[in-house]
Amino acid sequence: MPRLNDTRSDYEAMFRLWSEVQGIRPARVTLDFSRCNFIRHHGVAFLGGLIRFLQSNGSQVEIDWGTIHGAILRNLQQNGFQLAFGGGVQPWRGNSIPFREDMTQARDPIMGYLREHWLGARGVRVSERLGNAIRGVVWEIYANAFEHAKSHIGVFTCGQLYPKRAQLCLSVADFGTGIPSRVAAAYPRFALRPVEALRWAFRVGNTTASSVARSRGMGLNLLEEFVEKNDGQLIVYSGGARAVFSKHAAQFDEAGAAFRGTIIDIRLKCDDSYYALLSERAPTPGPLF
Amino acid sequence: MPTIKINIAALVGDLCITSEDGEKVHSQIVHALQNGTDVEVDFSNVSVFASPFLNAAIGSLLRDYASEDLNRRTSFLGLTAENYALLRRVIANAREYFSNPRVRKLVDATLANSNE
Repeated sequence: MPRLNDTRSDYEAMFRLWSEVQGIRPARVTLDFSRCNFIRHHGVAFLGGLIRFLQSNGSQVEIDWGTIHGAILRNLQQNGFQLAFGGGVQPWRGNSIPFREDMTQARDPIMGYLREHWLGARGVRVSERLGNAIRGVVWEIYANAFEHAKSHIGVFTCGQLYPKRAQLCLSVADFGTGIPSRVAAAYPRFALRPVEALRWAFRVGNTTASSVARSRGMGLNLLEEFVEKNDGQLIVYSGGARAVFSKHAAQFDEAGAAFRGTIIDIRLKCDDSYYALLSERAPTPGPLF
Repeated sequence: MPTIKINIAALVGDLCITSEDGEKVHSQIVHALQNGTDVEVDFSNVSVFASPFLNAAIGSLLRDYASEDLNRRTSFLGLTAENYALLRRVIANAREYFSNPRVRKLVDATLANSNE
């Protein structure tokens, strides 16, 4: 296992790992962490998916817990990752937001997790009203994963609270069809590069969904808008492209060609005082339709 | 014209986020409209909204009904300011979507520009 921090090269190393396991026939696989000196929350979510992928192909996966550095191991115990993959230590509450995996769009459990464990983390100060607005926006990530990506091994989540920065992070990884591939499939005559397809998908109203005659295509745009207005950050790796949104810029580039799924990392300020958005919104008079 | 109130929290709970729940609400609204009844959609006690729900429940009404009819025969209660704003955006998006030829033309132009 390599270091799984959040630089571009860390992500690339992570995706190379994904590429390496694609061709593995059912085997006994041991994960050795002796060269891994850091795992950020998105790495935990990704690692969970990687293991489930190997298991779905018939491999037996063994984590060599003894090779994991002390601080990393404590983190993996605290967030429940070890418990999920065969270890015996019960998780406890702390700055690491629990690891979870979902095979189906479990509305109530996921929303409960966001309220109790993510927004409910120690030191997070958001009002109920703001928390509900945030949960609605974050649900757009899950909707993208469950309604569009169709990941056969499920959707994986992990988060982290950074108290000194008053920053609350959540990563959601799916291992289904990435956004650029879905755009390409929906509009084959345009032969878009992944980065252009991802840019297109973030424009309001654009959607890759075509199975139901229904307006869609707002979720990604709503996410982007929310983090921009509230001084957050949104990082998306999907099917060979990357998008980074912050208050001041939106950047698209090519990245992670080896990974066909999607990882979305959202980073928000975890204090009501940062949010002017809610009080600024006043209903616009006039007919709705 | 008679009016029926649809209590959303009673119908799908306080989390209005999935398209499946949106379809349930959509069916109730359409059923009432087809029976000649005006509809009050009551969102009191709903805590969380997301666009998949609103697209399925409300945006899709524009597939079968004209804006003028919906403005006249439907009303919405119990929305917070931010949720009202989201609903308005969903409806605007749906209006664009269901006026299909122009939207399709815009989408095609967007894609063509991306290829240049």
